[in-house]
Amino acid sequence: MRPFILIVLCLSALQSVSQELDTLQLEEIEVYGAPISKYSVGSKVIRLEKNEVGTLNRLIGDQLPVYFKTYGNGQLATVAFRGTSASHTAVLWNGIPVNSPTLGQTDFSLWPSFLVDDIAVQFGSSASLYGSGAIGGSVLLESAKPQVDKKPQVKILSQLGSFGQFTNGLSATYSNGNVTGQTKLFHHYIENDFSYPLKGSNDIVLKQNNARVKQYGVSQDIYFDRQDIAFHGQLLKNDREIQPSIANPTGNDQLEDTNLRLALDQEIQLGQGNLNSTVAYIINDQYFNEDSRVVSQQFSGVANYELALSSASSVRIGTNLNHFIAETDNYYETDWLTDFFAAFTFQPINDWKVSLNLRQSLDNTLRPFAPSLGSEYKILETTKSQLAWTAQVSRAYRLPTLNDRFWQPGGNPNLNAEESLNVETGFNWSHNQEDLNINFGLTAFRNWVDEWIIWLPNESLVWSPSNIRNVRVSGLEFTSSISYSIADHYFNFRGNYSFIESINESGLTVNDNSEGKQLPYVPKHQFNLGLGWKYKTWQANVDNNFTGERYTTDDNTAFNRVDEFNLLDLRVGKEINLNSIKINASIESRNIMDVYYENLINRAMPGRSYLFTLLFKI
Amino acid sequence: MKSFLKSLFTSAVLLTASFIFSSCSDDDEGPAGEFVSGVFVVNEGNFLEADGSITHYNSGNGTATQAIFNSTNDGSILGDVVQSMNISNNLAYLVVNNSNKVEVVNANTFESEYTITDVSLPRYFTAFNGKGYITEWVSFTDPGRVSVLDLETREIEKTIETGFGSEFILNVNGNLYVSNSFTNTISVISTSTNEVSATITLSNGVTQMVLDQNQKIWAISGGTTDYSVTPPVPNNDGKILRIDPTSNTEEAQLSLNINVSGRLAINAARNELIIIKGTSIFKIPVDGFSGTLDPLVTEDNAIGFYGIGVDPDTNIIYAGDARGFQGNGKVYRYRQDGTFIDSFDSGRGPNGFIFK
Repeated sequence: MRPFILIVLCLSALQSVSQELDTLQLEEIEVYGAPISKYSVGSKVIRLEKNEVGTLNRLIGDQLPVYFKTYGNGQLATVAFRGTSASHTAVLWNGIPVNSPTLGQTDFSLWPSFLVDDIAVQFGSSASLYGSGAIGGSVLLESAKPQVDKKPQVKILSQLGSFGQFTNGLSATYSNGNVTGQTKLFHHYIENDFSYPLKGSNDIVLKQNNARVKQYGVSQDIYFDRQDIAFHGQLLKNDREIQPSIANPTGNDQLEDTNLRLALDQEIQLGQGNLNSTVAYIINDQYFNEDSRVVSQQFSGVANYELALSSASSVRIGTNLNHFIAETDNYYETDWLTDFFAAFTFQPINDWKVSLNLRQSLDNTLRPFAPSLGSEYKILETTKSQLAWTAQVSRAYRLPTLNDRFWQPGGNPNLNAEESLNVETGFNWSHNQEDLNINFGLTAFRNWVDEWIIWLPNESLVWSPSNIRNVRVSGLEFTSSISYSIADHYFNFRGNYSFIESINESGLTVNDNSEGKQLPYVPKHQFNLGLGWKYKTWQANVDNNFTGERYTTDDNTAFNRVDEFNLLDLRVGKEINLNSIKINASIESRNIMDVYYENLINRAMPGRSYLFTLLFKI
Repeated sequence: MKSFLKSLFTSAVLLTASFIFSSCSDDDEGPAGEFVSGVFVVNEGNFLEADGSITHYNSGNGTATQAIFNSTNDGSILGDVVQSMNISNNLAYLVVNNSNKVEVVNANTFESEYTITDVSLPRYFTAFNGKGYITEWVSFTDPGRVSVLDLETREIEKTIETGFGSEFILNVNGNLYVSNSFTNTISVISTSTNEVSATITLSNGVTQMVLDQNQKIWAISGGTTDYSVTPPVPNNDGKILRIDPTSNTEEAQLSLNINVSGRLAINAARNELIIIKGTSIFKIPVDGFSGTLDPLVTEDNAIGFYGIGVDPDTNIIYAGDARGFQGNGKVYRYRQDGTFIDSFDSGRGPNGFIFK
């Protein structure tokens, strides 16, 4: 391991407590009020702390026990929410579904945290709110209008780190009273030539090759305050070598991704309510080895009308229209998808909130109807504490992707949507007083997913998808955060744990070895622990991340398994005020115990690394 | 940058090689080993997951031992895709295609002996007269080749260019028949000169080959697919060709009228060819094929047969079901009349069988 020492810096600040919605927010944490749906009553929704560093998989995975299957350091990262697979998570950007229409999933490593203002995660099925794919969970990415006065604000991020990492970001916000704007530029480079021990040897160390990542991004938001119109745009380019398995040191594949997302959003008052409309255009371009290309275009429109019926109840109805165009070497296809939805939330009695949501999708056929009913009841409430009981039951679905339906050869246009039934219940207890804030949450859930699509070779020896698998997921999630301040000291603690059994209830055939087994790449146990201390301008954090063993095949054998890993990160930062410039400087060490681990089988992950960050705020 | 990575890689390889040399055992009269006899299942592994493995099956007591290379060698990984295995002179040669290597192990203990890394997309191995012969695709744009390994010095002493997609290798009386699977040719290499002595042009491109009781070569062509239409359709033009190794000509062809797997086995008496398609096994007599294929057996519990072999001693048919690579495979055993005997679990993607 080469010790690199450079310059650090950065960040907004405490990278610690993951906050449940209504808990206190530290002033250092730049969280803006994201419009998390009030219709999510009974669901577990967590708004993440903003962190300027890294990509979304790291941001989410560091704070929550959510498993990301990553194909190496900075490589493809897909999510497995609550024991489901990558395509069972809906991802919305400013209300627009942005999972790739060809793959039905999102590569979170393509999305730098620096370019996202606000991130919330909703656990469990919520297709009634977010549409296709929201079976295991949903990730909501929002642009947030910056609070600026007349003077422009500039943020400059600069990082140097191990394995040839070099990152720069610039963010500027400005306003003339009528128009507010935010411009961000981002660049990240990592050579990724880390060392790792050769399996089966005691002392042989190999160096990773072909894992370089280059990432560029620009985003622009413009808010026309008088007209209630907002424009959001981002262009991301990711040019990376594909990290080969440790058995293939000479691998030299590469992949270029380009993502363009544009959205125009308007809110107008109409009668007693508000009409919110968004139109969006998205391009996903993936170019493999400068040879094979997949380009999808998406035109989307969302319109919803919301009416407050009383102070505690409201109704929203709307529609989402999407048009997809996919161009690949294997097929060219266009498709329409239309959703209609309605949502109600109301308070039958003072301490009881209920929401009822409905959605119907239509593409070439009528897709499963997705209703959900959620409830939150305050069992106890004092001036400082409250205990709430939540419950939700919902139906969700995932539509077959364009690849599933049209890939040549093998695509199956007659696939059914995958369907799920999710029930969950939980308790949340919070206690807030001046110097002490405590939050505990416990959620139990069960999710039955049927008609799960699997690709298998057919009689003509061609791989083809069909609706095969039935899966039953059961789980328990515990979340906790405590913060305490005394004199100039501020302490916080975060502890999150999840237990997940994701069981294949139907084998591929009779007496199949996969029946009754845990799905591949679903850890049974996972937890994150975080401890933070802040004293005047100093702060320190320790974070611990445990991921249990995962099977890599559907029959759960000892050989096809990736070992559990436990990672420890340490970070020390200081805030420096230089005239009108505020500088946050930090040094952090990731995987400080220098553990060798794998996320995907036989893909090396880096050992101890250092990162120096400087964040200037002018 | 490239040269930096290259030198990095080279040093990594050298380091690896020196370790393996220094750790290999030198007790020549050591114990016979756990794997002196039995059946080896080649499990190619999932592409890019490097989880290829070898299963050892003890046909005497019906015990299958998984991943014997990995467990014997302290958790070393075999890589992917393990295309084939060949035993010669108490050494087993494990040819790992995408990992660009041949692992050489003691065939009785499976302890690692050495690793050949200067090969490019290697496919099959055979040994003759103190030399090992490794077919290599090299790439999808370069002609394939056969590398000649000196079994004494363990060095590659020569490479022989054949044709594109240099695949299977069959030794017939010191002449090596190499199917150039991306083309319609077979290259014949004379082991006395280690040069290509003849190139046979066939009516179809072929993959695997067997030698029958009449000393004729049979080579299989799994069939083609018409991609010009949507959806693509199989042309149902699978064939088995008969080649005379005396005249080096294609003598006959059997039209199967379906597309089949490119794998070919032969029974113990070497008078019946055995092929697979989907979940079915078919037998074709080398003399007097009726022209109609009727399955010998169709396995309802399988997803799709991927590998096929016949134990030359017991005449038992072994068929490997890859289970769509969702997980580990399963091997089904049948008598020659198609009666099911039993089944056992293998590793991921069982593509072939070695009987010892």
